Amino acid sequence: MDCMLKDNTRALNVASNLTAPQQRTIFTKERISIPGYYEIIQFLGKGAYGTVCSVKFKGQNPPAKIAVKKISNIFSKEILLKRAIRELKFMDFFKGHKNIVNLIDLEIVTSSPYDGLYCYQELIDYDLAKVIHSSVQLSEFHIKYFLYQILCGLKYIHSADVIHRDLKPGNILCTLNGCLKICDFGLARGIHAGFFQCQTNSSAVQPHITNYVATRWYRAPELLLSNQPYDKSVDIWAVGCILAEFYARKPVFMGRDSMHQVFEIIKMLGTPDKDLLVRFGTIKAWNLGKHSNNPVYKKIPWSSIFPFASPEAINLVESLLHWDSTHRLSVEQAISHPFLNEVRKPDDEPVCLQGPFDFTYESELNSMSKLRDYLVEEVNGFKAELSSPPL
Amino acid sequence: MNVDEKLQQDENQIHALFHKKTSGFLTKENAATKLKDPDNIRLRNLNFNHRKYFKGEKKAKPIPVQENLEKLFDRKVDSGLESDGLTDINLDYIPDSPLIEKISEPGHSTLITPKNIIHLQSDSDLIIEECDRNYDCGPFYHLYNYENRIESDDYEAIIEAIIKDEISGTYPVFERELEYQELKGLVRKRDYILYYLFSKDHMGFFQLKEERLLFYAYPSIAYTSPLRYLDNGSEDELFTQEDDELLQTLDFENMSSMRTLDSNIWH
Repeated sequence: MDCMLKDNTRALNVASNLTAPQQRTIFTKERISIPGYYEIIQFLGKGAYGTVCSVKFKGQNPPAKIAVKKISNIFSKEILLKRAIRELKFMDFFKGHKNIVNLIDLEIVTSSPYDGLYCYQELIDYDLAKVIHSSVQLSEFHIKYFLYQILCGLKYIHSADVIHRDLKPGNILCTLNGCLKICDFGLARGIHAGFFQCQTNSSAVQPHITNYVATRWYRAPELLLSNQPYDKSVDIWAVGCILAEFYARKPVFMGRDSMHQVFEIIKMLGTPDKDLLVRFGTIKAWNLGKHSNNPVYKKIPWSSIFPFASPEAINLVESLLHWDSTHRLSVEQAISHPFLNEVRKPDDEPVCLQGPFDFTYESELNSMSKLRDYLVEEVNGFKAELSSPPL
Repeated sequence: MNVDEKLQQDENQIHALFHKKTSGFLTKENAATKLKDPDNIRLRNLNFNHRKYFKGEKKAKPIPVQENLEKLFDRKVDSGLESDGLTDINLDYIPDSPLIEKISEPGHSTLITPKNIIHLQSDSDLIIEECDRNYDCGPFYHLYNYENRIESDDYEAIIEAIIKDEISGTYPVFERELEYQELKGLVRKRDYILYYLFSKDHMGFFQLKEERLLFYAYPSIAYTSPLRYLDNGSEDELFTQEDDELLQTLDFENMSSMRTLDSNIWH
């Protein structure tokens, strides 16, 4: 244990030396210590992960509210460390895009009992789930505007060869002025084939990404019925589900388990083709076919489900929610769809100029001390960049 | 005032009234048309430096989304960046968060004085009672258990995964393997004695060891276990007395070394 603590202390001292401000504001009851130029406004929540509070800059008028999340015990928990590193790497990589959430500051506090990783982020009160499932009236123009922002963010993410893997309304934050920001990169994965080659040192590259794909309601059919590798089209399916949810005002495929989820999709999209079921390559997929005893469902036209939606909207839903992932639109095609013409700004749809996301660092982090050191390096790098003068 | 004058006056009043109503109606119509205009929903400039230039100018009309949201949540809501009314809509959105710029400001602030190192904020300043225990925000948004693509009752997928891994010589890695390896190097004889005699598990090593044994003992768990970001104790439910008895007879301590582990330990 001494060894681990020593490791921790060494790593954390590096961080604290670099980042320690001269004055601290301390709130003893909730064990929060933040730089003196912040003033705590209110505690927003507390859970197993740590504590969240809202703060503002002292003397600032009008006050800019910031959410501070303190994550305790992060340095002894492998899963939290991995998630923190992954999420910070992605947020750092995608920073600056208006539809992807931005981190304001990071800090590692070492002095007990206030120790932990402190993350500072602009305070966004709502997520899209709260907006969709409320009584707020959404015109088709709002839907277009929201969807366009989601696709702009996703275009940026996909251009770096990254799959989000957990797109859903709950993971899209919504500011009061209607600006959407994609968040939660805890399950995101880089998929650039070149980096798989680097990781495996093998010429025969078979991108292998593991099975963790969250939130069943937004899960693509190939993830439910096949065990084969998947690609960016799983995010496109999720976007299709979100678009349909805008009109339905509730999730469109609400399965209780994976097979019920499949039947929910079949009820709307109809029984899939035999060829596709064969390509899925599983018995459960084969058993769904017309040859089995299962009833054969016909596709229900989206126009009869959403009679109030425009033909362009219906066409886009159909193009996104397709059984066959190869028939789904890419994010670039979706963004160019006539449905979004009214809100589109083609000059403001950037791609990630840094190229594909390099995830080879993951294979180097094969011990807890390396994970800790890496997190500290990430935080220090973030602070250093923050203090450097703008270009 | 004669009759003619009176009639003229009445006519003027009616005309004025009618004209007023007409212009009001037109105004509403214009406003309605304007709302449909895509340019009406724009991101506002979030940079506070621009506010002073807009001061004194007529404030922009709130967009319907905002009106609705405010109405919906029926409370004073801060957007996180603005606290007073709306400012003019700036058509040129500035992508960088203004707060990133602002964070560097306090470094030069005169508020920081070396004499006063720690400022203890009064507990009474904060409203703890109103704290929402379910509130969450990014980063690490919604830290809950992520589901596995393979569900526990999907025997076909489990068997297929086992066969594939056997062929390729890989095996799922316990999600807290590194944590386990570190604790294994730190645990001393004293800890074993304390655990077996008094059930004291200070470092959590023995609980982790049991979880790891179970993970490697049952392929169904290895291939279907959800990714838990929280140590909320729910894993305890996995253990039964029967499992414990079975585990006593098995030695999976070095199972990982018996196989070539999947090099990708990041799920």
